[in-house]
Amino acid sequence: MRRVIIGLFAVILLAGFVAACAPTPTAAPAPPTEKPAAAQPTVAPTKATDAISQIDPSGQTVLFWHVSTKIHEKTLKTLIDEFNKTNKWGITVQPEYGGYYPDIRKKILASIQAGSPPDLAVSYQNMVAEYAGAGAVVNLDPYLKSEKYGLSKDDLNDFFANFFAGDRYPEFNNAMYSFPPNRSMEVMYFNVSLLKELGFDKPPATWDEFYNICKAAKEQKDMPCYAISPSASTFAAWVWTRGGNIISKDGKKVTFNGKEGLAALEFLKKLVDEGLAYQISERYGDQTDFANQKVIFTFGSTAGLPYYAKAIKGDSDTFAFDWSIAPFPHSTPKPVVDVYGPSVTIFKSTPERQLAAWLFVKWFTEKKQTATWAMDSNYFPVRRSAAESPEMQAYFQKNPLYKKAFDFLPYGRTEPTIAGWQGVRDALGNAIVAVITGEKSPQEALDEAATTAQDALAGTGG
Amino acid sequence: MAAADEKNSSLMTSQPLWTGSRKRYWKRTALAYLYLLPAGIVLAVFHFLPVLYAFYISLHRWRIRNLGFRGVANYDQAIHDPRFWGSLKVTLFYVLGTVPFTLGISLLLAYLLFQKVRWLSFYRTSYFLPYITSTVAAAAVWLWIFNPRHGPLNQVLSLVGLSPQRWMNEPRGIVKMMAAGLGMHVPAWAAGPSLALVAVMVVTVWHFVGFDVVIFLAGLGNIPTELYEAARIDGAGQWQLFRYITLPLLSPTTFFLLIISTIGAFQSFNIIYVMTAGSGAQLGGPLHSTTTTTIYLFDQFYNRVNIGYASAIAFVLFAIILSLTVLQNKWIGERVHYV
Repeated sequence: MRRVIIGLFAVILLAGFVAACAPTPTAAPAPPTEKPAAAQPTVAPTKATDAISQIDPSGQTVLFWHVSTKIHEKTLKTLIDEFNKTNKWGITVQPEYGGYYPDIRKKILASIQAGSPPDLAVSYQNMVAEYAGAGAVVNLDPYLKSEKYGLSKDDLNDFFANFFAGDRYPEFNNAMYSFPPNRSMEVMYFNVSLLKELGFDKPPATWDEFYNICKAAKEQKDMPCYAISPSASTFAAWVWTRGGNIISKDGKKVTFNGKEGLAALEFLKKLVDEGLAYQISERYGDQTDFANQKVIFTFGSTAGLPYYAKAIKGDSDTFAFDWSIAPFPHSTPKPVVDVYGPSVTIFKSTPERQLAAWLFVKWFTEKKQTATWAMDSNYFPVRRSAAESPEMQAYFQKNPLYKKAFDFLPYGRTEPTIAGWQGVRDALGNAIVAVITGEKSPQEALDEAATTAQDALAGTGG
Repeated sequence: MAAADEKNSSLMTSQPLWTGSRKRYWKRTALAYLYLLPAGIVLAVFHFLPVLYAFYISLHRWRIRNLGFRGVANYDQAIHDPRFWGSLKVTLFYVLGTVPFTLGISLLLAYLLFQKVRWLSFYRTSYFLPYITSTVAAAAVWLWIFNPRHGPLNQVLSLVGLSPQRWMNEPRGIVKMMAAGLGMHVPAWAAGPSLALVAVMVVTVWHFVGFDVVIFLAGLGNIPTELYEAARIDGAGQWQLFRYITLPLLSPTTFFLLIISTIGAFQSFNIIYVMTAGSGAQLGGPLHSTTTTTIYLFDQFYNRVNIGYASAIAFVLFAIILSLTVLQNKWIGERVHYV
């Protein structure tokens, strides 16, 4: 009996403890008041009237979680040091390595739950959409527009428009929840020497030409032409270059399961069935096979250019064969290229810190800094003026393929910036694998992917 | 133990609880609880509270933050989620494909090692080595062995004239593959575990055999030698000795290993994680054919941020493991012979 009483007592105590503890993390940090008290005397001598311009960011410290390692981290730190020394508000940016994308995402999710996110972090847009769903991210529109701290009309025109488009969020009234310092694109890598041997003097412009080249490679050299790395970005480009769409503009409805999506998967099946294409078996296996001339084509990011170059060179100083890049083959009148890349996003804190973080982002994407960062990271400069700068021009000359890719930018298109996108990506990747392995017919694979992707978009999960 | 009991009881008799004052009793009890307190606090804070908190989360729509009470909707969702059922099927394959094999192989090895073999400690160490190797490192090495193109396994297969396999990239069921080899077609439900899952099972068995062998060896050592001698005098052969003496008297050990291996297999995570997501491929892939319930739970929690739903899955899995253990206890526990 006594034991029961003591046990009961313990349970009650425990329950009380739980009740006291449990709800605390749910209490979201109060959203910072965007408008500082009107009583504050105007700091600015200008007649700026917008709320942001009234804030004084002096002396703030900004914690910045990034994903850069090795030489890139060094470049980033050098740039940050420069900002810390030269900015007139005495703002200090503290860089901290947050791990690679999946890790920095987990870290940020945990920090949002704990109510202490960093001030600034690097993330992909669908990740930002998740953070925004939890109300943790700052809308940058007022900052862009701020008379005192924002971007001028000339500045805005200087940024490449389709880079900006990739940072607007349809689920949140197209608000600008992130900013683009990093952009690359999905392209077709091809072996120029092998094409010549087969009697083709240029890369395939259409999917039919692509098939003909593969057929020729099989007949003349008994080799496959394409090493497939199943990727949603590749699938997206397959659909886009056939005139289709992945999801509707408002981000609510799956649209890739139309005739273009089916054509893409049927084409894939034909390539695999006829022994023209195969799935790689380890990460970057397509790069290795391309470098060893086992295939003619691969599809991948331009961020991979230095790695392809290294793999093809091997131990020697020169390339063993001629190679180049091109936009995906297409049946649309003009090529379509998938332009993507991580952005930076600012988390809610105090008005002063948010502004300080924005001022750093603004500085980082100015002409000189974006050029420095582009040359180091092999991402593209985000401003036209930076691309036209002498340093950048010299870099273009030294890296003709990078320049070639840069010239595809007018054909750029961005992936959807919605929280459910990761689920859609997985569904697309699985559709490719299901068709390659013959587990499903193209139609079955497409239908299943559409159902899964639609569920992901609905985001009904708990 | 017996000595302690004696001491205790003598303590009891010399100072019966109710002969002393009530105050004194409470003092002693309080002291005992005071001693228990440090461990109690650690258990409460790091075990029970998180469990209760997870249960609280499982009743809510929780995506990064608490978005409101949902009642049992998360549990309802699990019951109607085909991917959750799919993950249970994969888990079942995994448990059935690892536990009996691990137990069988390690019993055989332990029995052989228990005979007076030379280099006994060398063998014992060799079999134990996989168990003390980091699962992550070992799984990475196995990934290389299973690599379709440069892996030694496919090279061996080609040497003996068999066709190389895709291993970790193969989502097709092994029954289906074998049937296809014979020109037959099996329905989808009979396709069996994917070759990728079988590869993961092989690594799991390899890893846990060493542990089971050591436990079995201890169990074998506990069987009194007189029993063997008596049986021999009665004319029992080697097989009869094993069947009628070793096996029954080893049953407490076998039972213990069965329970912990089953629980372990249901909770298995590291090897599957490293062998799928670790190579840059899809977690639980290809085509979810290695997505056990723990992997699905992880995916829902970290990749989909359906934290409430993931917590609900954790409790469903807990309920399944608990009821299985109770059933095992009831059905098999009764047949265990204790020496």
